[in-house]
Amino acid sequence: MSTRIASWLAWAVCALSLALTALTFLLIALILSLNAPIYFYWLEPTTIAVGYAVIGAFIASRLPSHPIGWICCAIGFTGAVEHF
Amino acid sequence: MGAKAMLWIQNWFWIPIFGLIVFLLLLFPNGRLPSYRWRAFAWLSAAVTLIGATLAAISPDVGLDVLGSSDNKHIYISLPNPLGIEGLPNLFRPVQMLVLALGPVAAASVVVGRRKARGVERQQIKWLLYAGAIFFLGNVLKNTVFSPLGEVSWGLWVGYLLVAIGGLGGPIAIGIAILRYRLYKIDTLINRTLVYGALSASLVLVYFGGVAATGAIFRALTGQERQPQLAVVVSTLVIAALFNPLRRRIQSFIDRRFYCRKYDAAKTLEAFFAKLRDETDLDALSDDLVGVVRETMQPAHASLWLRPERASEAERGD
Repeated sequence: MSTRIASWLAWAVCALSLALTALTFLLIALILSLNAPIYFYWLEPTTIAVGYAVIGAFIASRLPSHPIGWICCAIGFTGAVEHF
Repeated sequence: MGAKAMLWIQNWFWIPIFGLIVFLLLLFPNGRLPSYRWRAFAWLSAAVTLIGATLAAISPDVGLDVLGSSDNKHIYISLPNPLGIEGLPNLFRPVQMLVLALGPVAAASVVVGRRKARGVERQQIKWLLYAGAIFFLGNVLKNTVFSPLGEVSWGLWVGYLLVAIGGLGGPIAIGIAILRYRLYKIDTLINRTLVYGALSASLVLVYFGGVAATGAIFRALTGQERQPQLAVVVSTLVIAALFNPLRRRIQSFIDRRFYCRKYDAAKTLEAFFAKLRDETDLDALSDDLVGVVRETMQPAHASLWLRPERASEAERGD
């Protein structure tokens, strides 16, 4: 995979993870406005989704052959989906 | 339908995330396993993650932690799994235990498996361990110090904040380690964290101890039960006065205890500079200089060559 494609893919995954996290917060705000019970552990999944997605994109776009960058991307994305 | 799908995902999606974290630890920092012997554990982790996720996905019940907004109580609710297979035993707890057991072994691979790492790799590992320690401390504070207090207190939110800092610190540390950006700053960071962590803890103890002691003395003298403002003022003044002397003492202790070689080198150089001001004997100075270089830099070989005096005089005559 070329560096250009790897960089595009990594940042696309990061953008998707961040968008899902933003949507999650929108849902949390909606639930709070309805005074309904809310998922308690929201802080840790948010830090996982945002932190790993951004750092994963940084690493994977600069060092596409290094597995750590892609693992971080995957952790960020799966964290965002799970949080959503 | 959407809510049920999300509930189903929530039940098992944490398992692949945990599996990925296990592989992150196993492959950190160079993208390879610490040694050939760790291959079996890597395969076991992959199998446990896959089987655990499948079992959790078809489990008949789904567990969910929620915060009731009316009374702010933390409650655990169990709901039927929309894609669960009826009649299957609820395997959530055994699967959870099995998957979570992979974590400490993977963490050990960073410390034990890579104990022979030197140079850049060692610095990279230090970054990860530093972030891991903050995350661990945050979790200990949140789960074992503040959570047993029962309600959602300010202390629990302090614990949450520490977990968030540690949680974000993990990926940041990984980024610094892999991209090698300011890699060698970790030693200074660890030193400062030890010094200011110990200093903060000491000052908090002095403050609360001071408030309690002054209050007790005031009560004994006046017989009033109300906590006087004087106690707070006196304690604040005491910690303000103690800040710098205490910081210097803790810094000195940490340097001597954990950075012995660097501390000794600094002391040796300081002593040599002091000697330079008074010493006039060239032979003694030469010996001292070689000694200082040997002691502080520890080279394989050290010698000093001085240009012969006659040659320099002849040069001057020319």
